[in-house]
Amino acid sequence: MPLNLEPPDGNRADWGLLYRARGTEEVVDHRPVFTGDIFTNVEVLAPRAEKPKSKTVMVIQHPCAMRPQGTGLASSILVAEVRQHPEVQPGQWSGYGKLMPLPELYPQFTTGKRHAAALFDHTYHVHPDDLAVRVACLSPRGLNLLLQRWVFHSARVVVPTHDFDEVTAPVYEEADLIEDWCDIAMEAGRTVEEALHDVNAWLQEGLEAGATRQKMLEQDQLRSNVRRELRTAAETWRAPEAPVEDIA
Amino acid sequence: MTDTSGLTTVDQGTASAGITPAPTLPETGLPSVSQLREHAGVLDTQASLLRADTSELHGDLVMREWGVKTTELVRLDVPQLLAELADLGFAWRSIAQLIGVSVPAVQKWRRGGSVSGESRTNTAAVVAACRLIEESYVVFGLARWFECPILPGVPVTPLDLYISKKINLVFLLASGKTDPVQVLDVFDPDWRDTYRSEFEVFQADDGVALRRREQ
Repeated sequence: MPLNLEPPDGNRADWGLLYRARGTEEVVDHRPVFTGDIFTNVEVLAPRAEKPKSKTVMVIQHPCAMRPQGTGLASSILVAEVRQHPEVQPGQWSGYGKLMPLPELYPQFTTGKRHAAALFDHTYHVHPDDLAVRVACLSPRGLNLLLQRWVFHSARVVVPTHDFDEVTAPVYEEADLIEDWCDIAMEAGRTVEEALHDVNAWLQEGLEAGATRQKMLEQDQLRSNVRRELRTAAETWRAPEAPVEDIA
Repeated sequence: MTDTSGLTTVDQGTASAGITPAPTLPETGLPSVSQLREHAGVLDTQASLLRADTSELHGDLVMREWGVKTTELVRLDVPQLLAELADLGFAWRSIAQLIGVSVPAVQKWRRGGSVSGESRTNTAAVVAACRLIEESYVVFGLARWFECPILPGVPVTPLDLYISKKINLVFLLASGKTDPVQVLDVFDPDWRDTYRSEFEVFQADDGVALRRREQ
């Protein structure tokens, strides 16, 4: 069976499964910046343009490429412009290879403003500090569909989303765990900076035989154990050294 | 199914209704090999039909028990039910998928937000399924079991079965009484094509990555 660019869920138009969170009420500030996140009011400079413009953009860089040293973000992040776009029906997802459809990105609207798309031929590089107002995060399914379409646009190759899932699952899990840790630690009185510092140290802490918890996340058999351990540790575990500024 | 007394009854098996008695062996003299073979064949068929009936009966009863447990658990606080799932090691996104809602909805409930009756029942149903599996079957690390592929290399997990409302398959798989391939055949008859891939995961210098599989 030849593989085309995939729809989210067969013939079903259940667009909610593309997103982890939509709108500033749902998006959690302390979640690490991740591939597929959508930010608004981002200043971008088009080639040969004299003045920057404010746009809504989606991060399209692979999670690993965004964090070359493992934790801190790279100083230049690749983003694609997000614009209103007619709803792309499930049967049409095999086309539109120059974009990532984002149906019902803005569920609060009832008109065509509800739907959008990230345009792969309108890309920019931005500094992470410019990514301040996050308005949506993708689900694992949304992330894998984005990568499939972005790779197809860039290399004319269709990679099955279930293959992408094998390599994105560990890093998506890590983002989830960081959010989870911060929730618990901040409830226990830590600042967001302290919580982020602690969780990164905890994930990278050397264990037996050179393993780290971050490395353990690469094995699906071990993820639930790390999760359980994290939920116990987050309240009281503290990194040996104090956090430095600008750790995220 | 309800009988006249209002008590719930269990389906009677249908397969064994067609069982015909095994042919009688001669009372005097030794039976021939042919007669023995025929007799054994009939017994084998009877055993298969009985097995099908008992499997169906067992499956029905497991689903009944799940319903009873769900009804009991609906009375508990939703945050308490969610905490039980989290303590098992489930990711919040998995919990949200199992219940059929978004992650932010689950996070809101954890903080005491209002929950619809349907979501309350669905949450109780997930906890009931977990308890039933833990109490009845040998499954170590329940969350891990739910999140790992049924068959190596095929990205279908018990979580996927549950989300697709094939919950009888989840229990069947947990029982260890069935071949995972049969479960996959029921779940998606085209799974061999659906999940065929030319790519494989490998360990690159900076983490896991994909490359084309050697043919």
